[in-house]
Amino acid sequence: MQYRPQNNDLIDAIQEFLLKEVLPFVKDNDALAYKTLVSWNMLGVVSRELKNGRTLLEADAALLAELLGEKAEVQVTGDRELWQQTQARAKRVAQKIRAEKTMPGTREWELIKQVLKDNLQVANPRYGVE
Amino acid sequence: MQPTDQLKAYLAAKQGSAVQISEFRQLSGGACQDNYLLRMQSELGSEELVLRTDKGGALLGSLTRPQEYQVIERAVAAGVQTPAVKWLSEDPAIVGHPFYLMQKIEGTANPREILKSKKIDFKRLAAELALNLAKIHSIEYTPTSLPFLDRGLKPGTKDVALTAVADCRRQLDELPGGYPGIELCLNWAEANAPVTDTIVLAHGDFRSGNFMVGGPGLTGILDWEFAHWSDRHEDIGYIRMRDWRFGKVKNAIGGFASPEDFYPHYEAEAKVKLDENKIRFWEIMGNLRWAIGAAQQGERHLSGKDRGIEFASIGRRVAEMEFEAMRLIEGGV
Repeated sequence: MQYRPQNNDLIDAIQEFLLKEVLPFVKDNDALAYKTLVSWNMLGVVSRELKNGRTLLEADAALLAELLGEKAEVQVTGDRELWQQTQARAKRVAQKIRAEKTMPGTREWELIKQVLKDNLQVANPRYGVE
Repeated sequence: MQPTDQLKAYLAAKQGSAVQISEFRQLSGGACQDNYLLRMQSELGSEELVLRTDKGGALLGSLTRPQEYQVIERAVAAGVQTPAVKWLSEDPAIVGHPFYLMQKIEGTANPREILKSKKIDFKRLAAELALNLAKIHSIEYTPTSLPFLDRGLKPGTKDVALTAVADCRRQLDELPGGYPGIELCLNWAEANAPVTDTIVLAHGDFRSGNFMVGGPGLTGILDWEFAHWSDRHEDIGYIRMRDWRFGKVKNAIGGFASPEDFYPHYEAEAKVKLDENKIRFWEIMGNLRWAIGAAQQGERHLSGKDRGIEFASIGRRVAEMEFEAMRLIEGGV
């Protein structure tokens, strides 16, 4: 067990530092200001992934497994292992979709849209998927 | 990079007199190329130029500097407002890679700065962009013009669209990840590929960030590295893409103008009626191409070729373009 503050609180602290102390200092240098904002944004991605990543990954693993006619063993799999399994499944689903010329209006289309919505909840929740 | 003695000697030979480099600094550049401001003093006076050369790993499908140089010469001859090229060197010993020098133009290409500006007349900017795009598209395909771009595409067929689909699939096959949403959209694109009436020179990356704005309007079109023979609707679909609106999603043209501010000016100059369905097709293809480009940039970071937070972060943006392409196929506006 690690002591307080938790990982999300540490990330929040780094984000605050970048925005309040680093950004004003580099604001006249376009490239550095841009990279500072990108860094702040990526820490947000990591923070959201730490909070919800596992739940969303389990849901996506199940959706992709369904498209392959398989069952995802999500309960017994470690985070990294489940991510690798899900990546491999996404690759196989992609190959199947190309081979079978799957089109809009199919179950595949709806499930893949759901996987992308899950992705955007972490990668960019302000994107607006509705 | 620092200016080398070889560079000074090259400039002196070209200029025909002794040369001093009084300023040399990197400009904010693209993902694949580095641009440097070079101020040169000689007995002919002081001149500001931009030196453009390769970064580490170029994105698949981008032109070499000598090819880009020829495309720009052709665009300038067609009356396109773009910085004229001056000298080309293919000798890698001078700055490490082939490079060329071009005219320096004033203004900013930073999309967020452009969108926030109070000085810009955005309707004028949209009209100027439309006019320049029509001039780019006035360069029609012939097998002998810019021969390195020739892929044997035939007008009056679906060649252009189907080749774009095949290119996307080939690039996907080179990526370690799987992208089922992109594959679904490519199946749709293959089944709905439009016919290209006339094959024209497409800029290939016609968007905010690749044109310079100074004062109230356009000062020049930049970054020709993705130029290729295509359908005129490709560039128009591309500038509409949601990602190039930089948060101002209601303004379909670059986040600052409406299609009504752009299409009529294009049509008047090109003397062609644009086809909304073809624009929609190419906007979808633009999203797919940029989704794949984003995945490639993430891989560039992971491969160690070009490490950097900006490349790493773009890898996590693929789903935005993938979802947008699906939304457009469903008929979203």
